[in-house]
Amino acid sequence: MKNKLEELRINNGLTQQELAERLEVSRQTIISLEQGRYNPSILLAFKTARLFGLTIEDIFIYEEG
Amino acid sequence: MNNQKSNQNTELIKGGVMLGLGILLFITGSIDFNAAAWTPYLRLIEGIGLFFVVVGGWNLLQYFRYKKNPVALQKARIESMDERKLWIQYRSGNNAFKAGICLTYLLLLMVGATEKPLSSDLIWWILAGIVVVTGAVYVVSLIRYENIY
Repeated sequence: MKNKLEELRINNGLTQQELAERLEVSRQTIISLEQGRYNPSILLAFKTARLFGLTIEDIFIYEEG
Repeated sequence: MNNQKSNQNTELIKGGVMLGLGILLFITGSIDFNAAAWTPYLRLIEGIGLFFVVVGGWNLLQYFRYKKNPVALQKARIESMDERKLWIQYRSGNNAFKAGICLTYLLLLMVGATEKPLSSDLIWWILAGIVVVTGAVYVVSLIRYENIY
């Protein structure tokens, strides 16, 4: 699953560590999310969306197949 | 802040209770009741006691570490609750479980097919091997998934 996390984080002037602290996850999780290697739980997706004031669909792009 | 304090206290209570229980079990297991039939059970109690002592001691060590540095406590809490880390642990545990079950099933098939009783010495080594292989599968899976995800 692709996402715009890195773009949003940079636009909001946050480091990976700062974003990790705000979302209460490890920095490694942020790295994996940004690289699209790990898909977040629905809870983390909601927390991320709320943090940036967007919807889940604005950040995470679901591609069928 | 209150949450941090309650986390610290949980560590202290958990550690203290486990250490106390561990010492009690270890001492109970060490007592010579002059009954040979009880010996294996006493060794078992002693072993469980030793395990509790180690775990309780570790918890207390963590408590004193976190008391010195509350930021480290918060960091450790986040790390331990990190969903990616937990997911990797679940997957690795699942692999280890499968390996353990398969090895145990193979051993049972082997014993059943040959209908020859294994010596208790051989059984000890086989069971120890299963524990080691299961643990190794868990650790290897953890490392592998850490690199993949």
